[in-house]
Amino acid sequence: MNNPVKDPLDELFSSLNDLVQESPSPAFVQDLEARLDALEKKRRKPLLIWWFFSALGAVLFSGSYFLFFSNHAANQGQQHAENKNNTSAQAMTKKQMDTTSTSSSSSLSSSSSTFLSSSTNLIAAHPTTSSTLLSSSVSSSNAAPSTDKTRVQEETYIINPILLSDDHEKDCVLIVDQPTPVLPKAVVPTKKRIQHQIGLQFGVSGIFSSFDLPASHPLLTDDQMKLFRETREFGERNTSSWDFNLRYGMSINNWQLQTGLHYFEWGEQLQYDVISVEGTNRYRYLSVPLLLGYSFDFGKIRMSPFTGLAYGKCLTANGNYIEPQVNGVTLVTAKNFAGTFIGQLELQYVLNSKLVFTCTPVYRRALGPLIDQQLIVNSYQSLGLQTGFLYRF
Amino acid sequence: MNLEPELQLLQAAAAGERRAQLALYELCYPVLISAARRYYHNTDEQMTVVNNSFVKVIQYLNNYETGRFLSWVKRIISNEIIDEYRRNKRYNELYRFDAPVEERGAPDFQTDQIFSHEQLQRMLLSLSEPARLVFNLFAIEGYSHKEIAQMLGVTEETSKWHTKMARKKLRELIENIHE
Repeated sequence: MNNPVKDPLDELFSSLNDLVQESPSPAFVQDLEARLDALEKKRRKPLLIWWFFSALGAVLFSGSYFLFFSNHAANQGQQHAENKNNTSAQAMTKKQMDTTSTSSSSSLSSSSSTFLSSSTNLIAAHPTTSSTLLSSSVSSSNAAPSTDKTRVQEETYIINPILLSDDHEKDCVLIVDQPTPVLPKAVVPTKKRIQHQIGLQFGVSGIFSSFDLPASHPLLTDDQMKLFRETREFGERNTSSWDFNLRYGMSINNWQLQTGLHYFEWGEQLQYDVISVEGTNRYRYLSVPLLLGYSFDFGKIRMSPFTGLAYGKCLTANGNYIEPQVNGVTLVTAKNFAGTFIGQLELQYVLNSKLVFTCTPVYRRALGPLIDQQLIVNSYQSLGLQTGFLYRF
Repeated sequence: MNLEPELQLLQAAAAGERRAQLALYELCYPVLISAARRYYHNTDEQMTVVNNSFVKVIQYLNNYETGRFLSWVKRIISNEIIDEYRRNKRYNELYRFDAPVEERGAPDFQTDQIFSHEQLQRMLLSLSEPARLVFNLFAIEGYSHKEIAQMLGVTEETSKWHTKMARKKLRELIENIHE
């Protein structure tokens, strides 16, 4: 703003710059309040979306956590009960090999024995301490019911041997309407398999940078904004970076947890012809990822999709961008700590029982803008490929 | 009159406190309305530009760092007026001139008469819209022809020509009042 020689007419009219104390009319205030309400709503909207997704994430995470651990506990309980049954059954089989066994419902009813039958267990009514020993035997599916006193075959499961007194035998009622329940021939307990692994991975990523510019800015005209936008669009290009991943993983059956140290970069190439400036912005981050995955085995090949977040510290934070007035460069600083969303599809080739080769396409997205300095608002995502080896123990 | 707001008031307004925002509006209103009155006849148009500008003040309050706050507000309303001018396609009314326009170096206008703000505003509003816009920016707000040319996307000569035309018209109006 310079106007060295002032025309007296200009002087006269510049007196309009002198302010007169004046209050806004109620109509002005009412109109303003409506506009401020609209602005407030606009501001709240992204916050609400953020809270919605956070809540959704928390629900999904806690849901999957409880689902995983409740199934796990149920499996353990079932396994425990089966082990107990097997042990007692084996003991009884040895002791009672020569004892009379009732092997079908007809024989049970004829001897006035009482059983409450469920699909898998036989429950006795009025158990007493008398000398009569009843044991229910359940034959395998192809075995025909027999009324003979036979030795219990090896494949026969003996469940809940119960002693009934002679007095109570009469009171016993047989409630067995269903065919003899059949148990699997051999129950193989599902054992929890925990395995640990450490590994190193290297790779290359393509970084895709994008920037946001408001439609207008109070200190810039629309034309200036347009020029600034165009200069940045033409002057900033995608770049690539090296990745490094020192990782520790733990697998529980097919579920995989992964953490470690993850080095990667964000940034872009610059070539602003209007001010003859070129170079590359690189924001280096060292992050700790926490990823959850599930593996699918196909013989020696294993495929594991992973997803999770990484939180990291910036090692190199300084960058340059063209000034909004397009007449120089402005210095910016990237966020000191930043979160990253990670999604990856890990392909493993099992070399031997200890060593695994991995090849992993990785997608990363910075959570929120990494640079947020007035008109410079940059967001990043990347797509890369990492290869390396894992050692399992 | 030069009332700069306190930092606490600015912080509260930026945080979204309605009472602080209204207090700040009260403070900025003279700056905003005096600018709006120089450009627009209609009260509705004045209200729109004043309140739109103030909403931008609130929106970008966090970006305000140092300097005179009311000057910053004045720049915001100037840009808002220019943008509004462009949005309404009044841009085409700005005749373009590439031939050099002679700028008067020596002042040849003198008057002892005192004019009220209302009289000056009325004279200003009688100018054609492009001439009023350029004259306001050059003579009252103090932008150079180069800056005006950049802001409006015209040549410097165009800006000079409109200023010359505005001065001519205003002189005639003042002389008529004299007579």
